[in-house]
Amino acid sequence: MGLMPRRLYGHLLLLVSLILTLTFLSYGHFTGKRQSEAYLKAMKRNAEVMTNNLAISCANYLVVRDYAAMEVFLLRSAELPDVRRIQVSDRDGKALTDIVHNTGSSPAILYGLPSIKIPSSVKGSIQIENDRIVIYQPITAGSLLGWVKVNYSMETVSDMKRILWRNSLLIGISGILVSFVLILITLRPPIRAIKRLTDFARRLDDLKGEQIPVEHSFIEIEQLGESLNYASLEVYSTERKLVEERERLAVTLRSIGDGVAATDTEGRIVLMNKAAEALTGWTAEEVEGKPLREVFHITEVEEKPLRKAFPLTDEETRKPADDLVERVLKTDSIGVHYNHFLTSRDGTEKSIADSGAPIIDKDGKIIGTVLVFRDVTERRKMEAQLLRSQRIEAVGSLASGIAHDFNNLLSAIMGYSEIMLEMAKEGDPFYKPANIIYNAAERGTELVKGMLTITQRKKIETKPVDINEAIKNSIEILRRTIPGNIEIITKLEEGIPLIMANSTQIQQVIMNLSINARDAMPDGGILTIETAVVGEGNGAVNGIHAEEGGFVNLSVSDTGLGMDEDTKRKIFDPFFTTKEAGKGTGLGLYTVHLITSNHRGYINLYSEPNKGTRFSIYLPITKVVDIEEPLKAEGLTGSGTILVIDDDARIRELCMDILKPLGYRVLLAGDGSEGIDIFKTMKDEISLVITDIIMPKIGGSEVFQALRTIKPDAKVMLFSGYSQNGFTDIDKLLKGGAKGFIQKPFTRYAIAYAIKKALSEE
Amino acid sequence: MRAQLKGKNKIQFTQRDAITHTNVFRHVILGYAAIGVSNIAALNKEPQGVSSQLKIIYKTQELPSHPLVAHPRVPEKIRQAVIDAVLKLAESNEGRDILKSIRLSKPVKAYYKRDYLSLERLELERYLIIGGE
Repeated sequence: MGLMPRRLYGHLLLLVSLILTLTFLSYGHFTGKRQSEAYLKAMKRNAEVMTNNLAISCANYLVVRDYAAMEVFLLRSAELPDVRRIQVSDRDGKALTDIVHNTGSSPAILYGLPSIKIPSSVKGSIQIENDRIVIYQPITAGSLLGWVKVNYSMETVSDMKRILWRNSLLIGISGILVSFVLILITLRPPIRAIKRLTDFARRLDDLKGEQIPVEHSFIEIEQLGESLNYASLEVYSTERKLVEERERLAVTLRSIGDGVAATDTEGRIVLMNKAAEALTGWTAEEVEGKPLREVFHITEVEEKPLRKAFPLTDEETRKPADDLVERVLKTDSIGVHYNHFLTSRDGTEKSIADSGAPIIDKDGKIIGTVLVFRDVTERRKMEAQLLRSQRIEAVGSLASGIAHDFNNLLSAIMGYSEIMLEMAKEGDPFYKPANIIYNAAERGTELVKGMLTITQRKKIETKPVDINEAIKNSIEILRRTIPGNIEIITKLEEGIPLIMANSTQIQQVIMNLSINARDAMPDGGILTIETAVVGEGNGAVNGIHAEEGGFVNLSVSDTGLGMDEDTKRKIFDPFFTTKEAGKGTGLGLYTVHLITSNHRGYINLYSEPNKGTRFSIYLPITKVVDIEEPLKAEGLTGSGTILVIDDDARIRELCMDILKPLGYRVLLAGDGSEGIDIFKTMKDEISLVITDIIMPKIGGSEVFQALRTIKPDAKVMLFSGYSQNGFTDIDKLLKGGAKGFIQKPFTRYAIAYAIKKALSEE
Repeated sequence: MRAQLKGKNKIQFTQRDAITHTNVFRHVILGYAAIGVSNIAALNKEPQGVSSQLKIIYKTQELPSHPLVAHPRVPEKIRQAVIDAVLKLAESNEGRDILKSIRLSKPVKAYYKRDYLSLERLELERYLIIGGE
């Protein structure tokens, strides 16, 4: 466009003006030139004719020498408009008459002028001098009489040119004005239409979807209007799609449980979802335009082999994570990182797994990044718990296996010591040792049960327990364990109700808490053990209700080192210990927690660093159930043939030694096959089969199935060193028709009672 | 003038008729005549450019203007009637305009003896040229 106006009006006007101006200038120039040339030619011709006539007339005057008349004649002739000067001379150039006719005045005669320069030859001439036509014409009458010289003004030509120019200019200006008016009139409606369309286009963002009426006008404008209407619909449609898409994306983003943030290539946040807001503590509006690293404070743990196995963190291994955006932009993507930690706005730290990818436009250019942050704090905890559970399970499996063998051993010790006690009377020399052996075996049995309780969550066997009595029993042991610089104080409430509990486990709780208190007081202190009855409200807050409307409170306090908050949070975790390596198992308080939970109780912990710690255990007061009256010795006897199948010879012999004196015929089999063979041949004689569960080659389960195949109503009882809870096959067999389960080690009474009960059933 | 110069003053010269007074002056100015003879009134009518180039070297006696004359055979009564009519005509503007066109703008009654007898005595008929030079 250059210097041209940008408005269509101006453009057209200037263009038309230029065209008209050039046209009229050209017209004026060429026409003026042509006309002036034609006029000049005609003027020359007229001047020549006139001059010739003057010469002829002057000849008459010169012949008669009437110079005055000639002067009058020439004076009149000089009145002609274009004549500016008439000079007549004699043949030698002597001026006879000289008349000057200036513009705007009458011709006047000049007197006393010098001679006139005349042509050298007797021939007229015409020439243009100083914008005048100068004509020399000889005056002859047979001979040369003189010369007439006439000056004709070319002002008429100039005037004519000027008039022509002026007219051309006027016509040009008129043409421009007329064109201007015509353009205005002609272009006003389309320009107005264009303006309306332009306004519509400018406001298209607000008017999208609407239609502008297309007036009948120039076809281009109609097409423009139709195009705008089409664009309006398209923009509306596209925007609606975009809004829907955006809404869908927003909903998708909102519904994503992971935090999602998008950034530009400079790392500034452009988008963040609700999950990310929850993670960071910032709102999406607040973070828009902020660098990602200012919002997502991410640290990471150095990946050491030990840390991979035990993903616990501490400040020593923490370092700022690499800039995620930079990593994405450098590598095009980043994989999932699990060892990152995000510190939110309020300082809360969360374990996160983050990943990212570049955002690439349709041209393949990276325009930003999208980063996903997953809160894996709970997962981390679960993983840790799973790991701990796996370790507990491993220990449990080990303990379970050991318990099985222990139970077999204890069965023999307990059984035979019991037999010895049956055979002897107080005062006999071996009575006391037998009694001690029996008691030790019984204690060993309880310990094994306790170990299985931890590892296998065995349903505890409870009986009415006086907690004060349990404390007193424990104190005797504690006094041998607690150093002298620790004072033990007991504050036991008198007449405290009995609770249904496992006394061994309750003692274990007291022991564990006391040992912990001891370790917390390396420089001595006071260990206080208290009991009290508290109201139901104490348990209500924990959703635990006591049947008898209250709880028995067992508190163990120390004046030791105390614990910080972090330690308090982890204190009941299995394998968590603050003790030096090798000195603590990390299972003491976990066991306390487990036993308390199994007794449907709860624990309150109060501790302050350097002041001490108090564990308050609340055990619900429950209705004490009646204990089945034990059978008397003579009630244990019976009759019938009992087939005992066990791979442990001591157990087989123990069964023989217990049952035979009670009146039973006892058959023994060392493994499943032997047992099945004996049963095949003596199935009608055998009243009851007692079989071990775990045996080489053929286990108790297969034996049970085989016996039932041989004799569908065969009475089979099970016994095992493994607990019933820890071995699912036992439940299956009991549901399948087995008559009962005897936990090893068993007492004489237990096995005799179970056999009698089984034989009495149909 | 010839009567006075030749007849009275005996000055000899070659004369040429320039037809009009004005032409006399042009001849003198152009050098075609050494001296020109004309009346004073004609000279006074010439423009300054002409008169400034001329010098009066001799003046004749003053002469009356051309008379409106009548032939002797015209009866006195008619002559008097014409005289009265012309004089009366001169009394009105319209009449004076008419008279002016024949160069009688201010007519007065003339008397031959008083006004023209002196001319007769100059014997002007001697200088009359019939048919030119």
